[in-house]
Amino acid sequence: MDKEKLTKKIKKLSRFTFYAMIFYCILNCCDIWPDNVKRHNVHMDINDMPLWKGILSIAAIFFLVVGVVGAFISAMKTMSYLSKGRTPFTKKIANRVRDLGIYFIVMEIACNALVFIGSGKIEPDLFWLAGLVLYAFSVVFRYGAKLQKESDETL
Amino acid sequence: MNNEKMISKLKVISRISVVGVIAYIALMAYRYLPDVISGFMDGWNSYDGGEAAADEMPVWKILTAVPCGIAFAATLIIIIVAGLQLLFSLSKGNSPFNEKVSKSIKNLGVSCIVFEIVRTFLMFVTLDTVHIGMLWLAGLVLCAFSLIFRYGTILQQESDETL
Repeated sequence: MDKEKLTKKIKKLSRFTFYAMIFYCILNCCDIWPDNVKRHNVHMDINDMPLWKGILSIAAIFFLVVGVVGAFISAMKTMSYLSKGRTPFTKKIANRVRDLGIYFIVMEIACNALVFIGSGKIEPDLFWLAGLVLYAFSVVFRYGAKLQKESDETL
Repeated sequence: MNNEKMISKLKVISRISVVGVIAYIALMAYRYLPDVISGFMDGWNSYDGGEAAADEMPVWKILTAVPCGIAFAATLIIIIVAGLQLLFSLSKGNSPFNEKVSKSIKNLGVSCIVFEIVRTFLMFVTLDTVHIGMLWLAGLVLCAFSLIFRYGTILQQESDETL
């Protein structure tokens, strides 16, 4: 498959993923999405816990919300850029993928901190790993951007 | 940052991820394997409702639950193998753009989508609930990334030919 065909295919798939994300987001916000499994139930009473725990849990909730919202916006922006541009290898996309990775790691740390404060347990998920892989991908995208630049200069 | 620095950075992150994956799998195995083994020994896998309730279960449910369970386990193994393959390939080699990497990303993406479908169906059959997670979206993103890596492979070939 040549470059043009691949670019077209990338754009189509990215556009489809972008719309799927919007669909998923809207249905989740309206609570219509069939996702009835609650993974963590943390009960905290602000009167029963020390001040430092209360402050830490508020900070953890803040970072968790920032992580989730940021990750979703970054993912949607990445897919939106991929469905438009001439090439997938640009600094903008590399930065978006890096941000996505960082948000994933923030989300994982905040979630674990909250569960630890609430229940005293640590239950690591795989989001930190996804974050690391996405960070690695962002480096690959930066490398690709350099290759693209070289290719454009040669032509 | 020049190309060599970028590749060495990529290798370091990939190696950390490989160690992370192996540590995570080992930790999960250490945590759950004894329970799984003792569960099978004590007969937790038998149907809770007894033989009479098992007889009332529709035949199609019994017939589909077994292949779904096998497919669930198979896709989970494929996800782990493809993920490790991807990280190993990224932590080696001179360039991240090669057919091997794009194939393992594609396998990872497709198996994520299949895993989500099988899991949803299995939960519906066994627990009568519908739960759809986010893995299918991750699978779609990974399929797009596999195409991008194929595009990168062409660019890498062109760059190598120019030099």
